[in-house]
Amino acid sequence: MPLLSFLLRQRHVRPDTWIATQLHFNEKWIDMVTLTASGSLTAYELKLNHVTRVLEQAAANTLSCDRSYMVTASKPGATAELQASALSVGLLIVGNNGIQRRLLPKKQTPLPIVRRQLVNAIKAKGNQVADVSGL
Amino acid sequence: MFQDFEQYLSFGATDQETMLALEGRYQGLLVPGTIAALQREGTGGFLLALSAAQAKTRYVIDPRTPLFQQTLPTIKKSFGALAKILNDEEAATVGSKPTPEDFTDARLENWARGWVKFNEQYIDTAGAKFDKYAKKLKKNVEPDDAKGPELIIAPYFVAINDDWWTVSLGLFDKVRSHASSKDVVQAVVTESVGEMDRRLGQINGESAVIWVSDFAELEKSSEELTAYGTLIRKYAEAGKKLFALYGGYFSILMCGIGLTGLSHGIGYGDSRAWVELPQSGPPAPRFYLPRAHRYVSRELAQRLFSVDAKLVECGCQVCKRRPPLTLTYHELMQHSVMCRANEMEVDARRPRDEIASDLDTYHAEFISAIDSHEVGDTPVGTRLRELTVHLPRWSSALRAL
Repeated sequence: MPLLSFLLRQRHVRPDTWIATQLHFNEKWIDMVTLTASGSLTAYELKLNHVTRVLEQAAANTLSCDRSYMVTASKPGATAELQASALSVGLLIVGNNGIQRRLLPKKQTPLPIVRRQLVNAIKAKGNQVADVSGL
Repeated sequence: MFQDFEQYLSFGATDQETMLALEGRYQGLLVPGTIAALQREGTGGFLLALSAAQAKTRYVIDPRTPLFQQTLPTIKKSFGALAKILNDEEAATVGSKPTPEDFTDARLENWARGWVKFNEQYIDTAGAKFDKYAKKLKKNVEPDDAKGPELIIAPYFVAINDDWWTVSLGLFDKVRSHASSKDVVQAVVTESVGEMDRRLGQINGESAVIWVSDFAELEKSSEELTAYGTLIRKYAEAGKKLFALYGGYFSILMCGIGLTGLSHGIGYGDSRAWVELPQSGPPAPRFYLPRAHRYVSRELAQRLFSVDAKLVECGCQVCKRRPPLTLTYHELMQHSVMCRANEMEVDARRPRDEIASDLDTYHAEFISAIDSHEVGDTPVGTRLRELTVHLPRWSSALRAL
């Protein structure tokens, strides 16, 4: 999985990081979410196109995660980037030459009860990176 | 049902905790005939225990017979149970295309006898689990204080044409002729307000329960809402007592001009289309937004809270102004019932022009707060603004009434 390899290379995740994909949480599906050993929660919403939709989903994840990224296959327009910034959402672009981090997400402070619920959901449904990446 | 400002909750098997916790904050329960037929002891014990408790909660069984007016893709157990009550198990058949001609006099006679017996003997046959629910109420209730259904709603069909309407009228007459111990009320169900006006003009009884199929108040134009209100007032002034089987905030306000009351679900159910959904289930955990008088997703409610906590402000004893995402499922349901009870107690009795002004003010406050926030120019801002687009339509309709 190119995204996971990228995150490992960038040391955003480590072998002991928890990872869950297609996680149903608060009536929504989160494409991918990671929980590091230090307790940091980061969500990723992946869509080749449909920037508005992926932005809405990534924005929703800011309510439960410390950081939220949208991951697209092409560079969105300037308006969408401004909107992502306003919504505190980061932007990763997957291209032929690999993954480029275009925008850093702003750190969020989710409600403690919501954070706890998400942590429990990840540990119930997810795996550790070492188990899914073949490390 | 036919006193003033009556608020009934649509009974669902998953909502019992909310109904017990808020006993006394609503006047009655409207129980789908399908549930009453399938879960005779469980639902019955619950209803009888509530009816014997201090608040003397009333209940009525809605026959839900338009089920047997349509082609059913699947037959749920509850459909079969209801058909059995009506002495007509063949009614619950997959793929059949019922016509008014199918409902012969003898068949209607069977339905009427079965339905009257079910209602009149409900207190005897449904009390096996009385003690279980009496304990849950944590109050001293005696089986002798339990009450049967408040009245009988005659089985009915949607008046999609004159023939179906004629069958409904025939059913009502037969049920009335069989009922000895309870009042019988007619249900008038149509697909439009105009058709409702026409049919109400053809009934003789002084009271009726009404249902305009799929009349979603949030989506209706101010003209359509005005027409609905005008209809309510017209028949109220003519001495008819009308109770809406489904309704939201706008219908609550119509209690100020003659509607005697309405029923709504807990967490859902402000409107209903008569064609059966292939699947149903418990309501999604949505937040009732008091100032917009509607349900919204918890995510959007939380967003609004972040934009300006005042936008989601509520004085109820359940939510206690906490962030919407921190409320549990049952807290969300209880919060919605408390809000609706407050709307009935306060807003339904206030002058309509005052309410209209409030709605306009709230709408302006929402838009201003969202526009001036950093999310205002994003898709999230668009979604938030959409939550209040109905308010100007409602205020316009109220001013026209």
